[in-house]
Amino acid sequence: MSTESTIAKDLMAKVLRNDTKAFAELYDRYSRVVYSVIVNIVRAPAEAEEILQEVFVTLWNKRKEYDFSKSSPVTWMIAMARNRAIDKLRSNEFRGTMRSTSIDNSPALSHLQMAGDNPLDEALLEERQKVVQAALHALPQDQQTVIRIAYFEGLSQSEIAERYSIPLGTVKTRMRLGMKKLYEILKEAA
Amino acid sequence: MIDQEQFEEICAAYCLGILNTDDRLNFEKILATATPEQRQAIDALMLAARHLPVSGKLVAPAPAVKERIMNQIGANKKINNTSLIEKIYFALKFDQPVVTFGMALILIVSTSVLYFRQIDLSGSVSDFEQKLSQLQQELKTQTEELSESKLKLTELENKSAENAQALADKDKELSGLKLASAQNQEFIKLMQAPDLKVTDIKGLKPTPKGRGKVMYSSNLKLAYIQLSNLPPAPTNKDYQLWMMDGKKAVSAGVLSLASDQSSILKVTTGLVVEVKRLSAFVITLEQKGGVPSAKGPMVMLGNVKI
Repeated sequence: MSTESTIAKDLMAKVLRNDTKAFAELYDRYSRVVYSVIVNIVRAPAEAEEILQEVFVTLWNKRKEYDFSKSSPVTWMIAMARNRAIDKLRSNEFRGTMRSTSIDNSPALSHLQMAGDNPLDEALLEERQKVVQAALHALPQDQQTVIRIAYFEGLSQSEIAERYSIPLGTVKTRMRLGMKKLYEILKEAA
Repeated sequence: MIDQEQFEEICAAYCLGILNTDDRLNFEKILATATPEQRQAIDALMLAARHLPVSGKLVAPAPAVKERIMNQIGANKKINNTSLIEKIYFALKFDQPVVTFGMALILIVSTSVLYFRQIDLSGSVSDFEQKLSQLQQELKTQTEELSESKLKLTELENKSAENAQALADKDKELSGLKLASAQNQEFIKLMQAPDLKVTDIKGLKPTPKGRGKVMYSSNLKLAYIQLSNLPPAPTNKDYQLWMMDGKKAVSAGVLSLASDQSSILKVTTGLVVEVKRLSAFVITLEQKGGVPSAKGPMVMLGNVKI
């Protein structure tokens, strides 16, 4: 685990002891990446700031519920931010039934085990962004689109198939291949 | 049972967080019994998914957002993070608006109750102090009055004792007067007695100027003696009267002379010798209280004339 991840957990431990200074430092270190995820989903800065505020206030109020064994604090925050941003996006677009925004419903929290460098660490953010963007651009456009739509809009495989009028199997295949390819590129880049 | 390709398709959707709740739970059941190849696949896809947050443009939020957040969690209340006050603050959940409002309400109500009760008690204490002061003043006044009363009572007791003494003196005087009155009446009766006899007695050498008379009645069995110019008897001596039966002297008692050396005395013994046998009256100077038979010098003598 990186030094940066260790710092994040140390800060979170202090936050659990009601340390507001540690909370402020946690915000300083990770608000940009969290905000970036939100703003890339809702694409409206004002709404993104409201969601960011909501996420960090929820983080503070529900700090006692944080489980160190399940995920890093950064992953926890991003999962929460992404789900709320997607809910907001769907609400704005009147897209029918909303997905649950419960933190516990996030697969990134329920199963993801952190290994190696955290790509969201602030210190590595600029460099990591370039690597990831390059990796995504290296994918075929159809695979890249499916992955972006899935991640930033939260559309299911069926919804993507419906939106682009392509077979569900095709969406599944593009998504599978794209994610595997992305991994291979990132692995090589690391 | 799903093959590796199907597993990876679902796994990609799972890692991107786009499975609905049912599908997600079903997939997590599959993960519990995943093969090593499947585990390798999910680790790889998860790692790829974790990079996606930075796949878009990086944008920093406005500085005001942090200020709003810190205000909202109450971090801008200048609380020392490591202080005991802060620990208590959060332990009591004062960061929760409902708790804060509730505690504030309780504090206001309690303070109000204590304030008005304190005012009430202050008034009561003031009243009690005033009443106590009045009672102390009354007690002081009553104590002074009691002292004065005691003093007056003592004076009255003294006066009463004096009056009692005076009354006793008056009683004694009255008794004396009554006695004197009775003797006077007796003496008058003696003077009016038909068988009244009077014998003159005269002073001898020691008291040559002494004069006197003995008045007596055989019928009344009374005898009075009148003396004048007889000096007072010495301190340890008394004048004693004797009635002579022939040559025999019979005591008729000690004479108590008044200081004016001129008095009429009753012979308390009466006539101790029959008149027909009585030859003389003699007064001698004897030991204090008198003696059975005459021993001292004869100071007065009066012979009875038949």
